[in-house]
Amino acid sequence: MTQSKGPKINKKSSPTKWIVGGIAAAIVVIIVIVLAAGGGSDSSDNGDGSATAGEFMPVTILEGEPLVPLNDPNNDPAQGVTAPVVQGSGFNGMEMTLRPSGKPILLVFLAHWCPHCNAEIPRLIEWDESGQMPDDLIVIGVATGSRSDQPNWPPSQWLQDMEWPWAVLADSEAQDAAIAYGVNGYPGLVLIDGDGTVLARRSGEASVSELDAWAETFLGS
Amino acid sequence: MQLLSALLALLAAGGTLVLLVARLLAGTSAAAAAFVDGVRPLALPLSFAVSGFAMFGSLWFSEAANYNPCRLCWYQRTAMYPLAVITLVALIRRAVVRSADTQREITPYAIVLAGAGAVIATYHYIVEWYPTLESNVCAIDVPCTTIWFREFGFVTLPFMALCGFVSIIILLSTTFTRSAGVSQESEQS
Repeated sequence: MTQSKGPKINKKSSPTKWIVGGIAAAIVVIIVIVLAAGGGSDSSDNGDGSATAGEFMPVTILEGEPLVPLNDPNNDPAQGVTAPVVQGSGFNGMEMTLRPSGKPILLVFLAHWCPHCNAEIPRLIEWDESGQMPDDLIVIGVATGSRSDQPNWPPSQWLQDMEWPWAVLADSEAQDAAIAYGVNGYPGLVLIDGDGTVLARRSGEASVSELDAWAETFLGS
Repeated sequence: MQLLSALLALLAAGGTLVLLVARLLAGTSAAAAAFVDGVRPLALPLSFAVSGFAMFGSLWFSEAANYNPCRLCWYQRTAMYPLAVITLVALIRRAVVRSADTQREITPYAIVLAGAGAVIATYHYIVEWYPTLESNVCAIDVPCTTIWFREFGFVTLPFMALCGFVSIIILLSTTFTRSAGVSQESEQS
């Protein structure tokens, strides 16, 4: 018979038994609460199951090639490249084609669950309302990266709640529009001149003054 | 699963707070000292229960609920998963060898792992509330600012991880506090 080394374990004292009993009782109460609540609120669905149709729309490239993904905004190889012409539609199914129209276009790629996008939308609106945004600039939002298991779903309602004042193109579930413009983060901004040439791209939040300076640099407004 | 794990995390947090207060009062209160003595033999099994459930929960959330773990989630996993393994091995050894030393042996390693995990979980939780700390852009895949759920308005995945890490630290640190039972036993031997 071998002898064990080290101090022997005390027999469970009375406080230990009470503590074990207390923990067991607490776990039982928790299980009862969870069962009473119907097993919790795990969400991979939309809650009421509505609003799925129309949140994703097919997107196709009509002309040109997808832009390279944006890595360094200060050394962007897509600058000066002709942007692809992309066809898609809004949440309501109305067809939209992103093609040169003689006026500069600002594409704003937004994800409803992204806190930075939620912070950026009011700034874009403020930029517009302050009168600093170039008058001829056409702003188009692209609702991309949408996920029904994420906050602020559905994106159509989210943009409505955020009082987004411009047109919106609903990206496909595979994010074809975002890929076509080489977006690598949200919010993603792509500035295209009236001839369809990419002037600049950037990702992330920007203040009104930064947006103004950025647009002035590339549009000269 | 969200509600269950959130309530268990709050139970762990509450228990940890009670134990912490008891330890602070143990010098002046016999009841508090008795409570700490009562928890001490449970520290290892409770630590395994916490880390084991945390590991199971994180796997369930990523594999069953498809909540893809972000970079900071992975860092926390690298702290929590080994805790589940080493506390389990210590428990088995304690049962086989019948020695209380197994808890003392693993405690420094476990506390260092849990401490690192607690720091990361704290940072992750703060990032959830202040996303600009981490970055000013949401990555296309899974940014650490993504909040999969927020039970009761504040219980998120990193919060639950933080509760787990802190409770393991406080539980296992009772190993090194003076025990009336062990002292008496040592004096008798």
